[in-house]
Amino acid sequence: MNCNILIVDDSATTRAVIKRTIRLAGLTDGQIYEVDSGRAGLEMLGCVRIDLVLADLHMPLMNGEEMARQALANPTTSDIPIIVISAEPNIARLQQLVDAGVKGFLRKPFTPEQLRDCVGRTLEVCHG
Amino acid sequence: MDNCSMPLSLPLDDAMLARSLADVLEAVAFVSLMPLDSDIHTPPAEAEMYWIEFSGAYRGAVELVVPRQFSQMLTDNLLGPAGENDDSPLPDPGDGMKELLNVLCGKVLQELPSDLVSRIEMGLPQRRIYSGEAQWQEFHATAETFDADGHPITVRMRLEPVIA
Amino acid sequence: MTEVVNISDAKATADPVVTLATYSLGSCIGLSLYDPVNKVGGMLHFQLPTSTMDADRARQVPLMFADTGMAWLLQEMEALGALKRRMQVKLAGAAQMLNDASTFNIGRRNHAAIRKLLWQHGMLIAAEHVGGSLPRNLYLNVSSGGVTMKIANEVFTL
Repeated sequence: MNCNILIVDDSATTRAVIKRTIRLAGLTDGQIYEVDSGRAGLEMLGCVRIDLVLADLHMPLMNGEEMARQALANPTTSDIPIIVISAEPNIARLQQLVDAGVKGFLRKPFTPEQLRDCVGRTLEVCHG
Repeated sequence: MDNCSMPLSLPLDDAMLARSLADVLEAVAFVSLMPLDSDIHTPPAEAEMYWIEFSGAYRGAVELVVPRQFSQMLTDNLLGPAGENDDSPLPDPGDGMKELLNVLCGKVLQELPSDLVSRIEMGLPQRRIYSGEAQWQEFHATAETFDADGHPITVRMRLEPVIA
Repeated sequence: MTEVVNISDAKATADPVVTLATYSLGSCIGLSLYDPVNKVGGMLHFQLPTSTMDADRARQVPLMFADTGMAWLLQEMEALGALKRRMQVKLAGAAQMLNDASTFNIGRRNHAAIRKLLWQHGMLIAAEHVGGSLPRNLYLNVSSGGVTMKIANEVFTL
């Protein structure tokens, strides 16, 4: 599969873990982009073709919730699936995001295998 | 302590904090948490403190004190072997610790009823060099210390209601 | 033909008539590795997480420990032509047995140790059945690569 994936998380370590897992699992031969804020995420969505967004919620310079809201409201990006990957403790808040159009969520802490399965399922459903 | 704040009997206790820390360390970084064989009376060498503050209807913080070597080990565990083909710069070890703390706080708060969780805001993780034995005595007296794959890790959680 | 992997033991083979089997996985972990391209299979039954816990013992019985045991198994399988990046990883065990009721039980530590090693080697787990308090048996059919597990007299495919 040749999907481009965008990782949005203010933790460089988490971005590295996600990127390594995606590569080890062979989930895509496409590009994996990474940015550290919701604002940078929106800028990236406006620049390159992205097929899947993996986004944290708690970030400085625009959180993931606002980024998702703007991406879903923009006709040029509203079809891009977004998975929220977050330590957010309030399950109702995560469910609200799904109700608003986010494709799903994966709670931190996650194992590499849980990430593989979540991303793999989404890629299969959305681009398989 | 603010005279308007009172300790609240939240359904959170030291055992819950320990379980959450053990779960997070294992899931994220493959680190096993064990009881510490002996008490430590001085802060670890090259100690760092990481903390997240809570605000909203409840205030407080989760605080971790670790030796810098633990932060490095954590990052090494998370990233896997060096030299894999990747053009991204290596993250600072403090970044991994901040993320660990972020995940720990989220995990602990998940133990609370949802109506309480929705009224607590988590801040962003912070870090500073930790020094001063006097500070350590006060902190250590109200915290728990564990052995995390050979490194001492001291953790404390404070959470109390803000009464308007 | 069943070849038994004992406690603190490991075997690697490319013989298609063999089923590797290990029994009584309590807090221990049974690790099954299989290269489906050249049909090389291996199994390790280890008891303790790291050889640094007891260096002398590790020299005498390296297969007792996750790190030295896995290193041995990978070496044996690669000598038979297996490639690490193709290996299917499945594991079972890491139960909390009755005499070890705490947050810090050895089964959990074994699980963390093998997961760390696998991550370091760039290997993701395809399937696992861990935890609980009951012992397990693990089987690898070298001809098909199929892995099954028995727990409480029920057999599951991993």
